[in-house]
Amino acid sequence: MSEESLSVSELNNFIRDVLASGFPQPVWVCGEIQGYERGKDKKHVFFELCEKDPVSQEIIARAGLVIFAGARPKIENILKRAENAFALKDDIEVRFLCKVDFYPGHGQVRLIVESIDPVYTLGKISQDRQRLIALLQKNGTLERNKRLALARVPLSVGLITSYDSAAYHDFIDEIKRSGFGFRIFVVNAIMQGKNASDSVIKGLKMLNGMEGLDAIVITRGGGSIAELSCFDSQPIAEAIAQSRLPVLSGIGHEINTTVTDLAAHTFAKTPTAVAQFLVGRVDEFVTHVNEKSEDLLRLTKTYIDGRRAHLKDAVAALKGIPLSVLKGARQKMGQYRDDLKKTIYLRLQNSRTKMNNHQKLVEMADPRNTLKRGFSITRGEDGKAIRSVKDARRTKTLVTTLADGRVNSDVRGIVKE
Amino acid sequence: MPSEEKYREAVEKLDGIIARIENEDIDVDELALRVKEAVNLIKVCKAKIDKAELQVKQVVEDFAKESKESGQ
Repeated sequence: MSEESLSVSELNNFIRDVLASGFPQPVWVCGEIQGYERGKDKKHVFFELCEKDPVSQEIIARAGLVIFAGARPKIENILKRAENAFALKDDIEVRFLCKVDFYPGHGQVRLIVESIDPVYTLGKISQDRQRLIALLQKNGTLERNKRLALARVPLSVGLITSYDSAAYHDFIDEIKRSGFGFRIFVVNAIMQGKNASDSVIKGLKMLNGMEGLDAIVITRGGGSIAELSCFDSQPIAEAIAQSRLPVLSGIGHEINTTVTDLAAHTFAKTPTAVAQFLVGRVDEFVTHVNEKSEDLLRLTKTYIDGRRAHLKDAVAALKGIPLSVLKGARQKMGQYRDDLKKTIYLRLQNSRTKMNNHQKLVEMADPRNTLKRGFSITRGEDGKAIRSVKDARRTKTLVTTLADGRVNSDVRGIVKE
Repeated sequence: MPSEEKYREAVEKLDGIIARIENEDIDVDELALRVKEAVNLIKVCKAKIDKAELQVKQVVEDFAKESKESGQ
């Protein structure tokens, strides 16, 4: 062991030389960004890259990094070419090309970022997303809202969006254009960044507490993968699954559908498309109702026509049958009348004949008629008719009554024969 | 004889008188009386028959007229 000693700077310079010879070329380092947010507005951005235990999620290693002002345009350019799919921020996994440096003034190893591999981060994001989707699929979270029945005429709609944003206007304009009587209840929400998840969940809870809503719409305009990644959110997906109302999503994403879209009852690509979906559903119902009312009208007419024809037949039948019956009855009555007449006349005639017979008999019996034929009535002094010679013996004078007068005579002799 | 006398009663009375007239025993004076009575009764009965006939004729004619008016 040498007695020689080194000054701190000699040591640090020596360490730097050793490191430099050990890392002659820059190396690719993978890790999770930490502490980026607090320094990102400075000229040179100092931050850390760390590695976590895959099970416990505890940090097991960390390293200090710096993006010098001179390297930033290159990095930003690379990210731009990757369609701004993500931005550098805390908690994301990145792969940097770094020069391993030791700055003797601080005695610390510092990784100087020279370049970035966006494919790595995109893959990580995609992997995380795929893992989340698999999990939500497995536990049924993605299916639950789809099982809710969407009203046939969803005219009362809760809208979760950023108030007065382009997405808000696109949606409202399309709804207004339809001319249907929609009622839209807007909940102003943060639709990007870290706080979007909480804000959207709050909106879902609020609208679920309202009476009379048919559906909830979550919508925002298009953006980069990085901007929309907040909608690849497990809490939002779970809140949608717990919603008692169907959730329609329109998170403007041209390439991928977000987890929010997957958990929703129905999703469309843009705010306008979601509005069109709602309008289309109402329109379909109106068309259906119109068709049905035409059917109803036609069926009713057919029915009424049928009834009318039936009634006409019945009237015709009524006209025929009862008239013939009445005619018969009338004839019968006429017959009765004639019979009655005949009977009565016959009866009267009989009475009359009987009277005539009586009359003849009485006339025949009338003594005056007998007298006219030459017979006479002879009475005694007492005025009684003499019917026998025996009667004549009692009287001296006789009064003989003839048809036209009387003769007085004396009894001179009586001869009995 | 009251005019309200029923035809039936008149006829019965008449039948009684005729039976009396047909009897050989009847006295000439009674006969004349009965004949007079019978003639009166026959007049009354004939008048009743005539009246009845007229009424029946009227009723039957009215009935026929009504039947025609009620529309066949």
